[in-house]
Amino acid sequence: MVLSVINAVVVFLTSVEGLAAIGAGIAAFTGLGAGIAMGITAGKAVEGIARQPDAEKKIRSSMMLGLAFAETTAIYGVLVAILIMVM
Amino acid sequence: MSGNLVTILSVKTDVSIPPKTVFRIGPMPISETMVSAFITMVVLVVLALIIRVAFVPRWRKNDVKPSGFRIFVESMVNMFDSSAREQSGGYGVFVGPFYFSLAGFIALGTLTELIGLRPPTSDLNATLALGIMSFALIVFFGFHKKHAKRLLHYCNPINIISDGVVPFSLALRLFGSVFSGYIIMHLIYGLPIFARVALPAVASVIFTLFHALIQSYIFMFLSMSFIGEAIE
Repeated sequence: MVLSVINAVVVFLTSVEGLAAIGAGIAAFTGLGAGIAMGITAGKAVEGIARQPDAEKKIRSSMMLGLAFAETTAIYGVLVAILIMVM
Repeated sequence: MSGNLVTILSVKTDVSIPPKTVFRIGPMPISETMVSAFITMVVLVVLALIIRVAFVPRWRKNDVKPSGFRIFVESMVNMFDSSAREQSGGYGVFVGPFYFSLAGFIALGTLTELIGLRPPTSDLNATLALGIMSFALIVFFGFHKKHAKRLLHYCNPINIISDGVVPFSLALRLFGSVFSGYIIMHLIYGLPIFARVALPAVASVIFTLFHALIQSYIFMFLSMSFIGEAIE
């Protein structure tokens, strides 16, 4: 039973769908960099607001812009993963 | 056994990147995203007409006690107008209303997912059209403001690449976030009945409402800052 399950998993992983799924999983690793970037952005923005509460509006709008750019890489990773899995 | 595992493990949704064709008018195929796009446009035009014909004359007459709706509309218009004037100076007269309508289309179009349609922004054609419109405006305003001096900007080949990639980055950002949210919501709707009852109430806030508002704001903000960069 265990052997047949392992056999099935190996057959799946070496099939076209299995390799595509592994590729999609690797593409989702872009989330790692984007997560670090967004964390640094938000942390620095909070630091800036704590240091200068008057500039909160300006800091927030430029933080949103930075977050949008950081998020873009994660969205590209998701897009590549979806393209691999759906096509 | 292995064939069974393949069907269980691989994501088998009926969602594909090109939208499905619903019906045809003569030789022209009408896809499901076109249907939702037309619904969005009709709603936007009717809403704008109602506000213009029924509300604005009444608001002009008595400005003693502004209602909540009036404050909402005026703050939206003011937000777009002031940020357009801030970024693009004299061109703000055109840029503000233009991006107000684009942001309205993106936000309301993404919200059509809530009534079970495929949103127009989850179609790559629609988002590419929006991105190319923004790109054309950026190039046009750049040449209109600085005339031939703008060509100096393109002497550096890096600038050609970074400007040429703008429509694709705008389009793919919008498409990727809305389409991934749409696929996730589709997977949730395909779950067994006990999960289908309560889970969408939580998940659609994150994957539909949040995307609709944030992505329309980001699209507007990025395009305006690109225009501001081109004319400065």
